[in-house]
Amino acid sequence: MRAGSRSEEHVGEWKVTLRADTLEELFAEAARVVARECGPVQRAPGGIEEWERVEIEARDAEALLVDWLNELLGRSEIHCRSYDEIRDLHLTDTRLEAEVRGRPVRVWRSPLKAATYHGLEVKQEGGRWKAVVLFDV
Amino acid sequence: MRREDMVKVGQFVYEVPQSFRADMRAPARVYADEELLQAMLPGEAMTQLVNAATLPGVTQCVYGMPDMHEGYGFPVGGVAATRMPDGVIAPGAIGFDVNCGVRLLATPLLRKELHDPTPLVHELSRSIPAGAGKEGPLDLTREELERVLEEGSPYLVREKGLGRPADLTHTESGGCLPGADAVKVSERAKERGHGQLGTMGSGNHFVEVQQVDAIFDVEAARAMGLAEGQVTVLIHTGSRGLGHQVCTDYVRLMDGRLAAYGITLPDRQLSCAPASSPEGRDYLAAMAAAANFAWSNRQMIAHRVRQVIARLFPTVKPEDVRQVYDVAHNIAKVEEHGGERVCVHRKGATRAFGPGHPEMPPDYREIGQPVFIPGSMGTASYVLAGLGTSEQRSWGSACHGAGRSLSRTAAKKKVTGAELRRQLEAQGIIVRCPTNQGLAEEAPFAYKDVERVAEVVEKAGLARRVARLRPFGVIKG
Repeated sequence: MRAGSRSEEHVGEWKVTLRADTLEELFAEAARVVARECGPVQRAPGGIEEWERVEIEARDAEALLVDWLNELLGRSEIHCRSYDEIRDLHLTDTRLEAEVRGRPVRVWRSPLKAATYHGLEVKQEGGRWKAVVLFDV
Repeated sequence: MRREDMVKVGQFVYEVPQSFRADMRAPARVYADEELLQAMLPGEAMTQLVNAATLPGVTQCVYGMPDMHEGYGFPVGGVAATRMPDGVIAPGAIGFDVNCGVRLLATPLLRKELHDPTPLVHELSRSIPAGAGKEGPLDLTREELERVLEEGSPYLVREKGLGRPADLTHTESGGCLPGADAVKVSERAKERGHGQLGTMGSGNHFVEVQQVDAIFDVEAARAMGLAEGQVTVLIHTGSRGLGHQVCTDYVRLMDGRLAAYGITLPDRQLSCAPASSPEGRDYLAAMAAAANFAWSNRQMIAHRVRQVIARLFPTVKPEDVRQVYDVAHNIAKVEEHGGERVCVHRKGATRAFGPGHPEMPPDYREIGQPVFIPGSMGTASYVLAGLGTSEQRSWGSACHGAGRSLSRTAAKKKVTGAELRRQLEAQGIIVRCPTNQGLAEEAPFAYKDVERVAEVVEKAGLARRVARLRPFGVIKG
């Protein structure tokens, strides 16, 4: 089944639920959620964007997801890029390694300030992986 | 949280007693009338206030302001004080947008003299970068950025000529929080903030052009230089990506050190460390730097407002546009209250010191600190003055806005940006916004009734109403 995401109601911020068959797909879907918020991208001729390495250590899977999202948020804002391509994503309970590729954003629109720990969930449910993340917007 | 879990302890004060939950270290009180209280009960706002009462070192009471609503970790509109030196400092109890705040400028123009305000609103929107990301008008070197972080808006005024010395006396803490250390701000935070000085950002940030449409306290209004019919400009923004990253960095750091300090919390977003610990001291130094960046950001925007007004109205000099005051509403400050030295966390709450307070500039010492409660586009904003009673009732604090009552998604379901733009223009309000979606998310009906909020603030003895400002031009972030 394809990975997916759904916005949930929250008065002040933006809450999103993610589902995927594997933990790796869940993290990749989370990255795409952040990327989609950045704004329209420039589709440059293939091969000119470089893959960037990401390595993160955290104390548990929940913190790893928040750190992964905040890493991508920070890189996106600084370089005005939408990191919608992920490869070689390897996860343990406390470590993430991946390569990400960002496309230049034509009009930067992301309202996301940060991913938070509030109400954070990363768990298996009904044979699939589920995460709930609240972003400050 | 149920209504029956709360006790009415004053005409506009409701308390969740400390006995409500075993991990509470203090009672939680909210200032509200029955209607505002009922609006707070659904969702997590009250639970978040109770969670705030579990912070180690928290003292007396934690408080919810009349505009309180659900946030993350700590409610928006929450105030908590921890005993110094060993009570905790919690970055999540300040928020990601460190020193988000409001600055009010009073112009010598009268609304009735502006036959068509469109050019003014249009030129302001062209001069002040709005929306997420965005490059600002200043290209700072790394050394200059670090001076902004450590010296705040006095650096821009004294060395760059971007404002007047009087702006500094009319800025909370003089526009520079002591103890700021640029070294404690990460490279990533500096990279995110680089180029963003003088930019508004997105979300609920705005620059509003208004007229004073009612005066409630003549003496205080005179002291603030406000008169009926006068044109004012209200600026709402904060520390942009730099502040967001400072909070991200230190929540992460403190989350990893909770066990080392023996701290257990009901919500990891409240991650904290003793203020006297290395992590606590480093965060206070980084937060002060981010706060200084935010004051500098509003200083830069105020400079652009003055330039635009002087260009469009040749009889007006930039210095004729006076700064009424600049207040922070996401910040922690070490203050003395009743002889006790405490670290007051205000998230979506404004300091509201009363008359005679030594931190007030001489021209406001008799009236108390200016407090601003912005409305939302179609609604009025309020200018208030702090009351001495607020120091016993809320750690010298009042609320920071009307407070959201509808989610952004719900707001967009009720109106499109284009429809809202037409509705506001029919009310004589000119709107500039980078996206229609962003405009709809901030629709006036997505907020509580600002009139009611301001009234409760006054009746609860936190601040008294001085003037009401009605918008006729809105530039949204």
